Amino acid sequence: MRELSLHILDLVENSVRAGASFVLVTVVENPKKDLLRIVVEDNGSGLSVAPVAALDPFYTTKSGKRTGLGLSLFRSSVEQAGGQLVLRRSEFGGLAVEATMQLSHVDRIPLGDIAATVSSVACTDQDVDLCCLFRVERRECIVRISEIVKELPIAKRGGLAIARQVSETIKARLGTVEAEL
Amino acid sequence: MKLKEIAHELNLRELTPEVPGDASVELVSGHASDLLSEVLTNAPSGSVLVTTLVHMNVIAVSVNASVAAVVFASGAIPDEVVRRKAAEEGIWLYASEESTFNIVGRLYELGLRGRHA
Repeated sequence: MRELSLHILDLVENSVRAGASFVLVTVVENPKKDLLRIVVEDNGSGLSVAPVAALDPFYTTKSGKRTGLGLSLFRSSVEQAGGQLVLRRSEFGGLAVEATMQLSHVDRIPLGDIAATVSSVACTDQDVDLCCLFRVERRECIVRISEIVKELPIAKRGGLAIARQVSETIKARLGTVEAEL
Repeated sequence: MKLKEIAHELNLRELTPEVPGDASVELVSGHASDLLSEVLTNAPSGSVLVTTLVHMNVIAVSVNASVAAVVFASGAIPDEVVRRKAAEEGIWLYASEESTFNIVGRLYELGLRGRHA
């Protein structure tokens, strides 16, 4: 995958399949330490196997499939940027996937269109409350889908309208924060 | 052209001699990439993949995309666990000191073609 946001989308889809009703995506850029940290965590059912097994590209929870490449490809992307991927239990009760990589690494893929990623989740998985926290140095922005939906008139709470509103809100709130990622 | 003939022409080192058959499978297509999600989308079925990646993901992606053989370029060599998994899955692995560019050039000369846009 050419963008980290596509990996994030994949992880959120994993959370949805694990029965999560809440997913928190945290993206922290720390230029002083030259680090980029991405955490996707949820209140889903968590891992049913050891982390090392979940990272095996031949492990999948989907029936009828022989390979499960989502986490494995994310780990490769993180490692090629001098980083590491850790799977642990989230304080929300489900799984936390935490990636830390070198921000300036020549092989680090770009974050990509995070607004499109989050709005596509808002459109397709309306039962999941996705919350995103972006931080660059001391600037921070938080976008939570359930709060954006609440601001919409009830008649306009359809998938596409929600997605559009989520996308516009992220773009507006991210502003200069996103420009640096 | 047969895989074993290609291996001979390019002086490739065979890494999975235990794969059944004598590599007499006919190859007509190839793909070169170090971005595995791109391989998943674009590698023709039954093709040879040229890459410098040696992770287990290469084997999983090759299974998924029905890649017949993998050539590791620029002296890259997978570890034993990866090698054994490929053999188990019936995927031929080869190694070369040559760069991806040079290997692909030779494969093209031998008549193999990549996916057309």
